[in-house]
Amino acid sequence: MHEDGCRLVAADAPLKVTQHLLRLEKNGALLLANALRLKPLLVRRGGEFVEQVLAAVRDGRCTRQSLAARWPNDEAVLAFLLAHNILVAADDEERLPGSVPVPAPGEKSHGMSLYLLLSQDCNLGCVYCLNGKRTYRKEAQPRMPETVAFRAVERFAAAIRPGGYLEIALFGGEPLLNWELAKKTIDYTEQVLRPRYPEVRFCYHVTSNLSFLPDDFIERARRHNMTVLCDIDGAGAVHDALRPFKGGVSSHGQIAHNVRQLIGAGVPVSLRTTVTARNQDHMEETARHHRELGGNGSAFVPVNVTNSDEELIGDDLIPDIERMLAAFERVKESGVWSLDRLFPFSTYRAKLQPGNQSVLGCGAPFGNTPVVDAEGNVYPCIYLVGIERYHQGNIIAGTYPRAAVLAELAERLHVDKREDCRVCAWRYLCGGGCPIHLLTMAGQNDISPKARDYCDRINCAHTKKVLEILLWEMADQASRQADGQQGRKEDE
Amino acid sequence: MSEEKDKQQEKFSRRSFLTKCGIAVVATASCELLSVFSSASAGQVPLCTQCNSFCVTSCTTNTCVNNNPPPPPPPTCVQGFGGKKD
Repeated sequence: MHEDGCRLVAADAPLKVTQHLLRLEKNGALLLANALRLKPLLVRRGGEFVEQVLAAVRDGRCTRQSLAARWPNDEAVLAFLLAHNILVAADDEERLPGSVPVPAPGEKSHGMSLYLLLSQDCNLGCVYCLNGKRTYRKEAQPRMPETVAFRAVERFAAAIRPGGYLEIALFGGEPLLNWELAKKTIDYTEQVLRPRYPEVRFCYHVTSNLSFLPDDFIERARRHNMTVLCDIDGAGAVHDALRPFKGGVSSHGQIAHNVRQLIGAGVPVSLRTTVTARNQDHMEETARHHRELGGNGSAFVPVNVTNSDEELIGDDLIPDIERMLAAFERVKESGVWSLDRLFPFSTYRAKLQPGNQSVLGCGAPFGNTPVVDAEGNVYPCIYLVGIERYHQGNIIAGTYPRAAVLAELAERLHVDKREDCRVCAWRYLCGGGCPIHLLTMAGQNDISPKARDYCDRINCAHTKKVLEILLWEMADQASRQADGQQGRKEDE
Repeated sequence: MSEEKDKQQEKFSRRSFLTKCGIAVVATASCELLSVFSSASAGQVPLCTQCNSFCVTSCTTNTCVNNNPPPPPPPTCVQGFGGKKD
């Protein structure tokens, strides 16, 4: 096995320590990984020795041969470091292509989440609402007409390759304010599009505040295996301080009642928490609350400080990054949820699979998350609705797609090109995370020091923390498994 | 004493093995390392198209990254908006 590792690099070829080295320490153990070619390695004992080897390689012109001569009893260790890409050939450029394979216009996608803004109005008055008054034209209370909804699902169903999926995400504002159109859109998809595209998987999702339930919602949700996502930011008063009805009336009781009703009827509901300064100290309690309500899982997501109007929330809502990240870890440690039901861990686990490499943090530059507003305008992400520079065209007016929008996003967000990412060892693992602050805050000068600090650090700090926790989780699990094995199969 | 130490050293000098669950371990007098990905992980990812093996434990080329199909596209929304597709 290790001899195989040694074949990777000639015995007399100069070596270097990978430039993508991740080095984590915990309770005397050392975890090393190459973020470009991920094969994490746990040093259970003798971390100082391994550090000594790495230091020797950094210091001088080392080869496998010279290292083996210096540490003749540790050839297997050297081979292991090579096999796990911690040591690599000195002439290895260790780079990914500088361009991103963004689908060309007309090229079909393996899958998309299509967000339909059925109603751009909402009946709640959340203190951190991501929908700007101007960009979402809230005063006009726009509702999507049938022509737009049908054209949208038709257009994007045609963009999915056989074997792929189209998730139709009913979104808003509050999408259930336009429930009749939601049903018609689902019926149109089932009756017209499913037969037309038999190899495409269609699925339905609704992101709703669940403050009210249309009479036939449960029946429809069950019939179409709809997934439901609802924000509950804490138990009782904690939630009400952040997500009251318009006018300030508490919403928690009604929402909790409806969540229970749905779950009791067999409709899975995932619960999400937007983390702000007002609920950052209640995260574990909130996870338990989600569990008690019967949720299908919990999501904890740091608040975005800007809405689609590019306006900022107040400093009093901005969480303390370190406190919040410590709370994330406590939620994970609490074991209230298994990791596959606890977002973001559930999603970020996919980044820690062998062979995974990311140069972009999300699906938006790939065109995987198109948002269609009530008038048929298309944007790449729900946070970018109404912002002219991200307008991809209009599906009714025939101006969609303006391909340059995605191409420019991909170019700008590539981790090798982002100033804040290009020298970071983590970049090919995280892909830069959610880029929303970068996209909406770049030109902002009128911003408080607290908001600036949060914008500058939250994405990176949050993504790294989640990946670190997951790497240790995997390492601890491998260590336990290795210890639990009897009758080890000798390799030599 | 020195002889005993030498024996111990020899015992540890080439200790590398694969556990039954496919986790590669190397243990010498200096240190003990283990591979976080087990060969069982191969069930979760495409095998190397060149050597038909999973890199960590038996790939003889270390070219899996290049030979395997491109990695899956990034997740849709990392803010948690959207449902579960599978």
